[in-house]
Amino acid sequence: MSTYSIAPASVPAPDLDEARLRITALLVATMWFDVLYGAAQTGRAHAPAIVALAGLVAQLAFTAAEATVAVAGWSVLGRRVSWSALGTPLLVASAAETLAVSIASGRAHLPRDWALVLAGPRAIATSAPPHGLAAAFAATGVLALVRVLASAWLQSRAARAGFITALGLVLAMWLVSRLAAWWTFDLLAGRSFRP
Amino acid sequence: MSATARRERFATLALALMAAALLALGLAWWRDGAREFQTPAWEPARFVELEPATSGSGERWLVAVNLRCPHCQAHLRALARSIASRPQPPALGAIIVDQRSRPARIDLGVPLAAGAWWDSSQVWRDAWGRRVYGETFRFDARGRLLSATPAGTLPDSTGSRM
Repeated sequence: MSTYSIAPASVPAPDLDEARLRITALLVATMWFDVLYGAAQTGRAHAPAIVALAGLVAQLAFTAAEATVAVAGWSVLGRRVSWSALGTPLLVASAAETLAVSIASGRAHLPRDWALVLAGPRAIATSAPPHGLAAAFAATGVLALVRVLASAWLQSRAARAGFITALGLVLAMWLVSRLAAWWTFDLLAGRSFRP
Repeated sequence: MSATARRERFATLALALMAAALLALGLAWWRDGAREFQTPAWEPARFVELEPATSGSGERWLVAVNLRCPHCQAHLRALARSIASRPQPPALGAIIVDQRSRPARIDLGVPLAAGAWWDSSQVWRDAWGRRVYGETFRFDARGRLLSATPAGTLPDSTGSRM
């Protein structure tokens, strides 16, 4: 007589958190397209759909670059995080920015003070920023802060690191990007037909 | 070398390159800002007259115009419109900047009581350190600078848009 020992079928449990995150990222990408389409329409762009599509591609490319830098940053901090584990959360964190863009483009109608607090000085500006410092921090408002905090929280989860460490990394990346924007704007002033 | 070590080395190298690029950008910005420039002053002898001034007793408003820049020319026309109804309008003029050769003819679409001047020796950019086309220089009758305002701003107002 022989006995059979049948191993119980083991199906890997679906990672619901990851699935939720990816679906949210997809929704955020849709929000970006919608907001950019609205901004292009408000700005009377010639082909708003194409402008919005180009904007979405640029946003995705920016997120990809941000994830690459974050992977390098985490690596220096001694944490191994994959690029794909950071790309999705970073896109999700950019959701706050879609509302800021909507306010700044005049699509979301808010009182002037609220617009300034939420979306930064660009929301109430009537002309191009006069110098690099103003340009670099034109989008600094509560929603930018929300993006930073959300990004830090999602990255701390992905890297299994402390929130403060993640916040330090995200803030450092944000500040470096602002410095680069400030200096580049100043150096390029007058080298284009920007009035 | 293991894949992990290779990845970490690559990440460190990438961060070092980014830090070096940021440092280079910062140095370029600092050197650019450390240059000393003259305060703009209206000295006609430093420019080539393209269109003579017809009025020179009061204030002069001179706009830095690049002939390939539609924004600054639109600003010049908007300025002309906004001062036309004044009882004693300032004399409006143009400094043609970043123009290698003398323009054969000049037609900016507005009367220029302060004349049109070709900045043949790059005074605007090299001596004054200015860069943004469409900027309006407001000079008093003696050629001293009263204000310099960006395109879209009425020079003798408190930053009000036109």
